[in-house]
Amino acid sequence: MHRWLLRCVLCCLWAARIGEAQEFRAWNRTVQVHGFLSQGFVKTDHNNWLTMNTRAGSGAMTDMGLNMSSQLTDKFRVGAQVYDRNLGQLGQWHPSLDWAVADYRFTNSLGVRAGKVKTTLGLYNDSQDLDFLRVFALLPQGVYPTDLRDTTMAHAGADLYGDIGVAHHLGKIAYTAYVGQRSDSLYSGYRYMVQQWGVFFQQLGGLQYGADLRWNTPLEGLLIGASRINQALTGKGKYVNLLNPLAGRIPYRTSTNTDWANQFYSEYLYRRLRLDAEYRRFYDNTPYVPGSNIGTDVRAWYVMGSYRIRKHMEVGSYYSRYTVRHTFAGLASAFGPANSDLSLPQNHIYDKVIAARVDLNRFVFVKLEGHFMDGYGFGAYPNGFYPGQNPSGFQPSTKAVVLKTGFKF
Amino acid sequence: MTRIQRLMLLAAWILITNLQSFPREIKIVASPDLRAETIAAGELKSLFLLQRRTLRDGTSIEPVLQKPGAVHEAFLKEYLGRDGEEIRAYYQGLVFTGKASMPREMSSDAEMVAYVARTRGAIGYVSGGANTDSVKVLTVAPESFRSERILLKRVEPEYPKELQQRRIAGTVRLALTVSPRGSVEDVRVMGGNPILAEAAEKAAKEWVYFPSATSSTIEVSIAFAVRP
Repeated sequence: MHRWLLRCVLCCLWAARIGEAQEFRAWNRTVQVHGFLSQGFVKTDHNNWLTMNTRAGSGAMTDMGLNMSSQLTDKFRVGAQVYDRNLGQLGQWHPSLDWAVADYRFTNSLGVRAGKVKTTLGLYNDSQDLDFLRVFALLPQGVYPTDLRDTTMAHAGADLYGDIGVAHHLGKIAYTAYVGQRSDSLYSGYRYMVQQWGVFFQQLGGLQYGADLRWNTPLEGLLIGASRINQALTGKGKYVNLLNPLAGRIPYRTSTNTDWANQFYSEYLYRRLRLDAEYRRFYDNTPYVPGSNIGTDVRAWYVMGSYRIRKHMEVGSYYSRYTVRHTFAGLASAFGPANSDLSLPQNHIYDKVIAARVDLNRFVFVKLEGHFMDGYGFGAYPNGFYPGQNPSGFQPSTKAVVLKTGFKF
Repeated sequence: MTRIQRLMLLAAWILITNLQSFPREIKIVASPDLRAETIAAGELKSLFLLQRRTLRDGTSIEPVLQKPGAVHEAFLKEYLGRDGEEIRAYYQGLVFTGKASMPREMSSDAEMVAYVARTRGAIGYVSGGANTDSVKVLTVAPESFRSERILLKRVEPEYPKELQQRRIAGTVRLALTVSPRGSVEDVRVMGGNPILAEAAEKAAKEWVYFPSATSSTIEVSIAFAVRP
């Protein structure tokens, strides 16, 4: 026990030492270096969750990022971040370029970011990997599904952004408008899910464009916003007809440009209290195989609160609801008639969460989180629960405990 | 150690960690080449939240922080309305999503003054007792001295009967201090008949303005006219 304690203390001291050394000079410019590393452990009572073997307890929950950036002139900044994760069957230690931007701010009301840019969508889309910013280890999965992070995370293109003051002291409006090409990871939940239908993507992505408006209201601490994203999806790979597997893998291509999501949100900060609420509707209509369309209509919302009870200790709770409706057309009708009864556990996930976080110093944190989930929400769209990890079927409810630690500098 | 001793130790620890000695005064210091002598509270906040990069006159600004400590906490509390943990998470959110770089951090008042003195466009903060001879000390002004806030509730003053009968009319000028939430916190009489001013002051205290990010000082004139 004493040795374990000693190791923890040494780890914290080491992290603090690393944390202080975060910039160097190159070509007469200051280059900042920042990074994070986190490790989680998840245990569930019934269903396996997030592609991990959580019923037995799983520590396959690691992620890390490292970035460098430099302010080259008053208005021009460049930077890039590499991100890597292993979450059960997802990520699988394949590092990716998370973002790489050149950012020029002409005026306070107009700036341009170009390169691979994090997509602004709702309160947390661009920062959903950065759990060290919050008390929660996992954001509400109905709105920010970690297994589908790649489908909205970033785009190779450009953003226009800025802040505009509203007359009569009515606060400020921050806007972002973007367009770019999205490249989904081949180690994401979406690709993992469609494998069970015999589709093996080798390339996945498409054009996306959208906008975000957020109003910093005159009431101190209150923010109200709305986001919209339109997405096209093109996938190339191989397909195995599960009704005739002997035919082998044949070339496969799918394309759609009908996906969209709307998000409405609000955030209120008052001293040590933070309250968030968000609603998201996502619609997707994908021809998985020729002549076979599956329409997916996801609606999710959450209310969340957190309070820092001491300088280094924070507690929080949220309640989230996720519902999914499907429509099947063509060959996909073989999945059965559309079932829009949202009271069925396969069509919803209602999650009650409590969490606590302790910061051991400026750099090291530990979190403990409990999830009480009703439903598993698995239809034709992934949201944490996969048949591959639950071969004997799903149970209608799941309790989960998440323990997570990490450091950032 | 007995249970009582443990409890006392815990209580002492909580007391000590909750007591922070904030410096009484914070000075906002700026590079000597800055033309501005004053800065609006809202503008200062936007600059340190990295929402703006320039002053209203177009000058590019580099906000500079102090490392965690009493001066840093006092500045954050007074001008940004957040504490050290919140602001650090806020900056990290921008840094790790590629939207900004972390502001530079200084270890002491002396280091802050030296850096600001030699860096074009730098703005920082030091404790009230720090030597600021080599830098410009900015005055932080309330957000506005003009009546730009929307009046939501106006209560008309009562015209004293005695003055009405004697046909004494006039205009009273008041300076109202309006809180961010919109209530009138203070009324200062700037001119007018003292009896009319008393009535105007009483009514103005009931007025309610639309909320704003910061408190404002608003000049208003209230006319008392005798009906024919």
